[in-house]
Amino acid sequence: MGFNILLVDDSSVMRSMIKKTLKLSGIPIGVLLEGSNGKEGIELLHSNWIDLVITDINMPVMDGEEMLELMKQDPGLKDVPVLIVSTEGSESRIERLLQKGARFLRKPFTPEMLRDAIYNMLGVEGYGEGEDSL
Amino acid sequence: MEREKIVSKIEEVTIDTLEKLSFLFLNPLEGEEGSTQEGTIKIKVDFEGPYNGYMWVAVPLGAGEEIAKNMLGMDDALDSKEVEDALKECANVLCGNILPELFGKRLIFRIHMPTVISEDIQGDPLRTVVLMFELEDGGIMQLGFSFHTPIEEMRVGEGL
Repeated sequence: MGFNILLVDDSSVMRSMIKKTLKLSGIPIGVLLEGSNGKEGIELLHSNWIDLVITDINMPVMDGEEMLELMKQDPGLKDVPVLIVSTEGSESRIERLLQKGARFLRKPFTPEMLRDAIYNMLGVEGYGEGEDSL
Repeated sequence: MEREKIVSKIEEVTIDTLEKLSFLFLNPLEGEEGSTQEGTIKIKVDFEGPYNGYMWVAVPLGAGEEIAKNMLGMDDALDSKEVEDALKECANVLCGNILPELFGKRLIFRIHMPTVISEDIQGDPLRTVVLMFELEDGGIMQLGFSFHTPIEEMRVGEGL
């Protein structure tokens, strides 16, 4: 039994990179869904059970911040944890996203950094090296 | 702003970023006198903000494919479009990490979509820094920043 994760990024390269990093992190994954913008992300959230959203900020059609705002206004989605992964360097923008309830991880990141961020968000305690201790 | 500090910070961030992004270990070369070989792929990223300019990266084609494979976690050969896309993403991450380190994390820069270019870049020496790195296979990677503002007139960020 793994976590169902929704990955939202307009770059197919970055989605592949994050998928590779997720696999290396040892996090047990159930379903891994992908969207290329916030609008697709919202649609996938409405039709699937998702434990965690990993999203970029800057995307066409609907960016990650707008998707986060829509999720927080939706009683069915407001409690789904959102991890924003981006090269965003502005502290003020990052602070704004944190106040809206997201967590932030700067690109690039190691599998260990991603694992720690996700387990911390999902309240997974007592993990050691990868999935063995889950 | 002191050129040496800029070079040192770009070097530090580039090495750390590529290690995390593509498991690539770079060896910085002294000075700017090196040159890239024939058969390189060059990516340019324009940026706007408190300072405007562009960054570019040039890597040999073979090394570019290795970087792309490592980024994507793939062992099979990649086509040129996949290599270009991966290197564009790599350049985007590099630029997005270097600028805040140079000028401070409270400033906002707009980073444009990276593009593949064919021409060599010859920036004004007063506005340009160029770094050379030796790759694990012996090839040379070049990374440069060219600013609209002369480097000595730019203000130091908290990262320097």
